Amino acid sequence: MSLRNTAVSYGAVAKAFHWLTLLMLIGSFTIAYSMVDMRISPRKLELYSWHKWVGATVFLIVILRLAWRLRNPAPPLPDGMSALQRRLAGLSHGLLYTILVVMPLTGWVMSSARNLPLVYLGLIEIPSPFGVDQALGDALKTVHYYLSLALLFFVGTHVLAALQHHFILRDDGLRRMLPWPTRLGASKPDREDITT
Amino acid sequence: MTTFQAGSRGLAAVMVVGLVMGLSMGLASRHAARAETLPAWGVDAGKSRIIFIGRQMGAASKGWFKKFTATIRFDPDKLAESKAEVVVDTASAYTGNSDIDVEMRKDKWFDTAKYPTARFVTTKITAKGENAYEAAGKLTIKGITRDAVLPFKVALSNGGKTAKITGEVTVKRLEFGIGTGEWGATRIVADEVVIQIEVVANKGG
Repeated sequence: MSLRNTAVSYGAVAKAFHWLTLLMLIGSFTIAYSMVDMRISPRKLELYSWHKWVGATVFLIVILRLAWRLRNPAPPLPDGMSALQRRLAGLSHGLLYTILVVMPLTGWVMSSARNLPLVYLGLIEIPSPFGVDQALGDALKTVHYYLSLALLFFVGTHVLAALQHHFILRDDGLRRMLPWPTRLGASKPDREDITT
Repeated sequence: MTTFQAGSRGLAAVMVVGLVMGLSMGLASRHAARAETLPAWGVDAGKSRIIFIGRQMGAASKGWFKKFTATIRFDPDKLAESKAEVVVDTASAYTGNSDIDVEMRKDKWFDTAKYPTARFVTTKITAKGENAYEAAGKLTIKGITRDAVLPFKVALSNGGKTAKITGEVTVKRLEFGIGTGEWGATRIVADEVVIQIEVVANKGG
């Protein structure tokens, strides 16, 4: 598997970013849902810190990922998609990236606003410049919550689209992002086989 | 914020100052006659703060007590008679996080219903070089009294009529039963709490 993206498939680095992001998001959501309604306790503080660390990691990954993508264009979308589908695909990918950047930022500023600032991995203190501010904290809590719903929605759409490409359109839309070596073009015997 | 400090950090507690003379307390009566000749300093509440800095999961949270009173009799040339007493309203502890502020009033923390005040009374003030002093005293939080030493500095202005007193001391919250039960886990919430004082006082005020 090539490290860099090819004309038909994502490279190992892009795939690593993609699947690592998924793992982090599963972790982040799992922690978030268990902590959010707890009464205040040492356990809750611990979970919040873990959640913040995972969120900060997502942010780091997405920044590296976007930098990598800039120098490493994504392979073209599968053939057979209409102009509208292409635009929707671009839009939803753009929104996914946007949420992945903005959501950790809202969490970070909210943490400082609520006087529980981010100390990444318990080691690196990263206070937000906005400081403690109850009203700001409350507002960002709402924003962070709705962003989480939006993220779930767009990840859901993303998964459905990938499954549609794979099972209905029978193209390489899903296969070219799979983390293990895959034969691309396998379902299209008229296309040349390309091994990643 | 503080003009001077030297120290580490920690969560939740109390106290204060070292300057001068406590009128109240029976302790003081021995010196009372002489102490009255010392200037009284009135605290400018708007410019004064008693700050606490706690740590949870490595992150420092800073708060302060919105209400406190201080009785200060201080003359750098008469340190033996100088005295201070600071009384803090524990229910006025404020961090800006309503969850924490509510929690701090409960019995596992300050138990403000039962122990509405915390206090620091100096027993001995000694000079430690230029504008630097050390106040040894009794710190009482949640009904538990311990010896404490508060190093502080005094910066005079306004022709010697205004004093800015700054100091910092680290206390162990668990010695005072602050944050008991599940909160005793110092892995999550550190035992050490830094107390910083920034007090502006006016002579004769």
